[in-house]
Amino acid sequence: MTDSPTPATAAGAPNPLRDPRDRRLPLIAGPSSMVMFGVTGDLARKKLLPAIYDLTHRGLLPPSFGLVGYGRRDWSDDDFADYVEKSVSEHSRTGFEESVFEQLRGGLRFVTGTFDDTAAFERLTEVVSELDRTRGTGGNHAFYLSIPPDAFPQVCGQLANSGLNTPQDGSWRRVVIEKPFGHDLASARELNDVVEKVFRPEDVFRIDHYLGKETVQNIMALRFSNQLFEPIWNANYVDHVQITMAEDIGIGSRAGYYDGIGTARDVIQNHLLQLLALTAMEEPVTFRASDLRAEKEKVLAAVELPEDLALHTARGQYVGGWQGGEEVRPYLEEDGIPADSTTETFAAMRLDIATRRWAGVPFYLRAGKRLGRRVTEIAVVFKRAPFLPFHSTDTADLGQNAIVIRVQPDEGVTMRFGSKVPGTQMEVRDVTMDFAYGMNFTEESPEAYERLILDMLLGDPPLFPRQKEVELSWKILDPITEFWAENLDPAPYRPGSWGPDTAHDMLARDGRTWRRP
Amino acid sequence: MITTLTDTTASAVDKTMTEMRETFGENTIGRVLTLIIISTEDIEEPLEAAIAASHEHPARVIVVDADPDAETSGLDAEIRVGRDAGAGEIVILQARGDVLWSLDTLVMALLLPDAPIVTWWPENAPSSPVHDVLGSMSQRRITDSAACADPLGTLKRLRRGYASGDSDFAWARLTRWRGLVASAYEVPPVSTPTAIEVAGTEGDPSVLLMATWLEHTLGVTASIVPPPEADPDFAGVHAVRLVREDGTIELSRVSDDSIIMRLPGDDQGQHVTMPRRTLAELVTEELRRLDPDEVYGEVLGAAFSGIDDPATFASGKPAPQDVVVADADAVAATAASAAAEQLAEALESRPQAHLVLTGGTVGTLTAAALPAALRAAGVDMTRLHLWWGDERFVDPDSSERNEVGVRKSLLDVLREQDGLPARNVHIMPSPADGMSLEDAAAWYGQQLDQMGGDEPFRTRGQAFFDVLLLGMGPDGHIASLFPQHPGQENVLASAVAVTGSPKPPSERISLTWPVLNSSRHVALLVAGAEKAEAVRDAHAAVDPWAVPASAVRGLESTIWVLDEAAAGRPAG
Repeated sequence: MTDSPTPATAAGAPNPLRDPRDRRLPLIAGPSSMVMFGVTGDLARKKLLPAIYDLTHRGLLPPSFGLVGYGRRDWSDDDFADYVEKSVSEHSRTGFEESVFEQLRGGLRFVTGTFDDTAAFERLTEVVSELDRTRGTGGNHAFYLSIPPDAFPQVCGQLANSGLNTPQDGSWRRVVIEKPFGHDLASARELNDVVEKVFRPEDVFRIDHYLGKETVQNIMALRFSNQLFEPIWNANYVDHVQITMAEDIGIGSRAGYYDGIGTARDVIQNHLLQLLALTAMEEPVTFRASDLRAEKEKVLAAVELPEDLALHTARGQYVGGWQGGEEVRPYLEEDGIPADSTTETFAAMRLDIATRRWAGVPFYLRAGKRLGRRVTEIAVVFKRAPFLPFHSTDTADLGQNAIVIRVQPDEGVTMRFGSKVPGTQMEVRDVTMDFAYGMNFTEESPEAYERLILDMLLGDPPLFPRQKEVELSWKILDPITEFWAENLDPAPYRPGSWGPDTAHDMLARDGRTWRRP
Repeated sequence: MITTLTDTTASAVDKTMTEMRETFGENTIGRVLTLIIISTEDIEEPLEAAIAASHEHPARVIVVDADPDAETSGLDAEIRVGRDAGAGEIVILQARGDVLWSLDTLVMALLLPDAPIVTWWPENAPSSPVHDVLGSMSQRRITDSAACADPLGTLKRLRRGYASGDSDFAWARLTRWRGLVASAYEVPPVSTPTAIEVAGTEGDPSVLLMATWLEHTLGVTASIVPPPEADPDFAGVHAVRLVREDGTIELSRVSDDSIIMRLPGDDQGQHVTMPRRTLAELVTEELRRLDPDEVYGEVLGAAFSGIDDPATFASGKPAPQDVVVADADAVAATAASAAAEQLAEALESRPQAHLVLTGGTVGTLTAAALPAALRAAGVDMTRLHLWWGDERFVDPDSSERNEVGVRKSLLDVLREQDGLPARNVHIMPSPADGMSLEDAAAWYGQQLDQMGGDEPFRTRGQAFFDVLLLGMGPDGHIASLFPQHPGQENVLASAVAVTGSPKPPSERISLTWPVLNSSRHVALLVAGAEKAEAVRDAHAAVDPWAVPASAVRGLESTIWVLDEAAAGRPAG
C-alpha cells in the first residue's frame, strides 16, 4: 500500500475521509442535536419527526444524534419516545422499523416547561450538555421553533438568558424558523430583529419547504444545464409566464391563522415569488448560497407593480356548493371565520420585471383554495411564430408553444408544440411532450423537510431564504394588500372552479387567458 | 407480459418489443439507461435486483446468456414488459454457438438511443472490463469480485485491467460503512488516529478496500485483523477501530442489522441501524451516478501494485533451452514434432488444446510439417484450436498474410482430412471484415478472452495456450512487437493494433506481452546467419524493449530451435 501525506487535522480542518470526488459517500450530518419547540403541533407530528426518522433510516444522521422536545406536557423521556414512535409509525416515508427507531430512541429527551419558565430553560441547558457528555453531540445544537411567531421573543429571550444561543470553541448553534416570516414588511423586520438579536444572521435558517422540493431545484437544472432553453428564455420569444398554485381543499383547521392573512400573504409572498425569482433570475456565477441569493434578490428588486391595481389584480373568496361530489361550506361559514370576513382565498396579480431580459413579459401569479384541482406549475408561454406558411384554416387548432414545469403533484416538465395531424390534409394541432419525474427517476424523492433539516445540520444554506429576500417580497406585496384592504373586496367564486370572473377579466384585458392546468 | 421468440434475430426482438409496447400502452419514453447483465447460472437473482433498481432507474435490461459450446448456432429471446419487469423492460438473449463471435451486434439493435450503457457481471468478472466486447461499449462496468471463485485474485486482476468507469460491489458494500467511519472521525476532539484496525476475514475484498481506503486517505497504517473467533468466515467488514490519543473509537457489527459505535469512555455504545446491503441496493447505488468513481480507482490502485515492466511477465519461469539442428527444414521438423507431442499430452488432461502459429519462412515450413507430426502423435484434431501470434492487416488473400502462407499446407489439410472444425481456426481479421485496425485488434483480443484466456492471461502461474510458435526477425522482434516501438507498450489489452511497423506492411495486429507469456510451451524457430546476433542478444538478460525475443517464456518450457547458421555453432 502506498503512503499519502498526512492531512492537517486541527479542529475545523476538513475531514480527509470526505473527498469531494467521492460522490458515493453519504453526506452524514456531524455530531449534533436538535431542540424542538412546538413538538406536539401538527407540523412536528406529521412532517418534522417523520423527517428526522427517515433521515436516520437513510443513515444520514450521526449515531449520536439527540432530539430534545420542549413543551408543557408533563412527560418523561419515555412518554416522549412513545409519542415520537406513534408519529413516526403513522407518517414516515421509508417505513417503520423497530431497530431504526431504537437508534433514535437513545437520544430522545423531553423537558417540561412553558416559554416563560426560566427554571425549565435551565433544565434544558442541563439536558443539552448531558447529551454533549454522554452522546458526543459536540456542543452543536439546532433550535427548531415550530411555534407561532408571537412566541418568538419569549423563546429567543430565554435561549439568550440561558446561554444556549452561544456556541463554544468550534461548535455551532442554529435556529430554524418557519414561514410566515411576518405579515408585512414592518412585522417581518420586527420578527427578524428578535431572532437576530440572539442568533447571528448566518445561523438563522428560514424554512420554506417549497425550496426543498426536487422540482423547484430542477428549475435551475433545466435552465442552466441545458443549451436548449436559455436562448429563448427572454422577452424576444416569451409572451408571458403563468405561475399557479392551486389547492382543491378549503382552509380546514387553519382558521385562526388564515383569517386576516389570506392567500396573498400565505403563499404568494413566499412560494410564488420564490418560483418567480427562480424562473426569471439571471444565471448565478456559482451555486454557492451567496451567489444564488444575489441573483434572486436582483430579480425581486426589479419587480414592478401594475399602475392600476384594480385592473391587474384579482381577489376572490369561495362560496358554498358541491365540489367534486362533496358538499362544501362557503369560506364565511368555515369554523372560526367571522361572517363578515374580507380575507381572500384566491389571489391573482400581474407583475412585470424591469430588466432587459423580461421587459414587456408579464408574470401572472395566481393562488387559491377550493380551486379545480391541486396543482402547482410554472407555464412559460411563447409568442406565436411570426409567419405561418399555411392556410389559416390549417393552423386553426394551433395554440402558443409552452414549457410547463409541473412542481406538484405529478412532477415533471411538459412541452407543447404544433404537429401535423396524420392524413392527407395539412392540419397542425397542439401536442404535448412529457417528462415525468416518476418515470425517469426515483419514486423515492425525499420529502422536502428531510432535505432541509439535513442541509441545516450540515450548515449548507443555498435552499434557505435570507431576510433580504423576505423583505423584498413584502415590498412587492404590501402595496397590493394595502390597496385591497381599502378598495377591493374579494369576489365570490364557486368551489371547484378556477377563481372569480375578475381573475379571467384581468387576463382578458391583456388579450390572454389563463391556462387550464 | 412475457413473449418468447425462438431462432430469432435482434431486429425481430426489437420489433416485437415495440409491438408489445403499443398493444399494452407501455411507454417507451423515460428509460434512462440500458443495463446489460452477463448471465450466470442463476439469472433470476440478479434480474430481481435489476427490477428492484428499475423503480429508481427505469432501465432496459438485456440479459446475455451465452452458450459457446452449443451444437447449433442461433438466438432465442424472451421479452418481459409490464408487471413482469418492474419499471423497466427485460430482454433475455440466449445466444448459441457462432452467434457469440459478434455479441456486440446482438445487443446493438436493442440499446436505448443515446442513453448510457451499464454492463454488470454478477459473477465471473472479466480481468479488464473495458476490453470486454460489451464492456467496451459501456460507460459503467460493474463487477462483483466477492462473488467470484478467487475474490482477491479477481480484484487484483481488476486492478491490472482497471479503466475509469469500472466499479466493484466490494466497494459499494462499504458505502454506508465508510459514511459511518467518516462521521466517527469527526467525533470531537478531532485528531488523526495513530493506528487503525479493520477486522474481517482475510481474503475478503471489502475488508482490503476498507483498510486501503483508510490508510491511503489518512496516511496511517491500517492493519487487517481477523474477525471474532466465533465466526471465522465473517463476510465483509466486522469492525473498524480508530485509535486516537483520547482513546479508541470502535464501530463493530453486532448483527446483520446493526452496528455498535463505542466512543472513548463509553462502554455501552450507541446503536446504529445498518442492515447488510442487498443486491438491489448495490445495483441502485451503482446506477445513481454514471460518472467514473475516481476514489475507487485510487483505492484499488493503492491496494495492489501495477505492472509497469513487461519483463515481469517472463520472469520466474524455466530458463530457455537451445536445440541446434542442421538447417531450416530440420528446424521445422523438430519444432513440429515437439509441438505435436506437447499438444497430444495437453489433450490427455484437457478438453481442448490451443496452438499459436507464426509466419515467416521457418514458421511456414513448420506449419507444413505439422499435419504429419500431429497424426504421428495421435492428436485428436477435432479438439484442437489454432490461433496466430500476429497478422498483417492487409487483403485477406494477400501473400503477406501469415494465414495465407499456411492455408493450403496446414489449414485445408487438417479441415478436409483430419476433422478440424472450421470454427476452431481463429484467423485474425483483415480489412475485408469491415473493421478498423483498432477494432479488429480489440475483437481478436475479445475472442481470446471469451474462449477462456481472460483469467490465465492475467494470473501469474497460469497459461492459456499449450504451444506458442514464434519466429524472430533479425532485429529481435517476435509477433509484431518490435524493439523500441511504442506498439509493444500496451499490456492491458490481449491484442493490439500496431501501426508504423518498422517492417512493411506497416499495419498489423499482435498479441501482447501477458498473452504471449501465457503458454505452457514456447518454441522460437530461427534459421539463417543474419539472425545470429539477435539470437545472442536474446540469450542475455530479459529486455522486452530492446530485444523482444528475450521476453517470452513458457510456463513449463521454452526452446530455441536454431539452425547452425543462427546458432553460430554446429548441430548436436
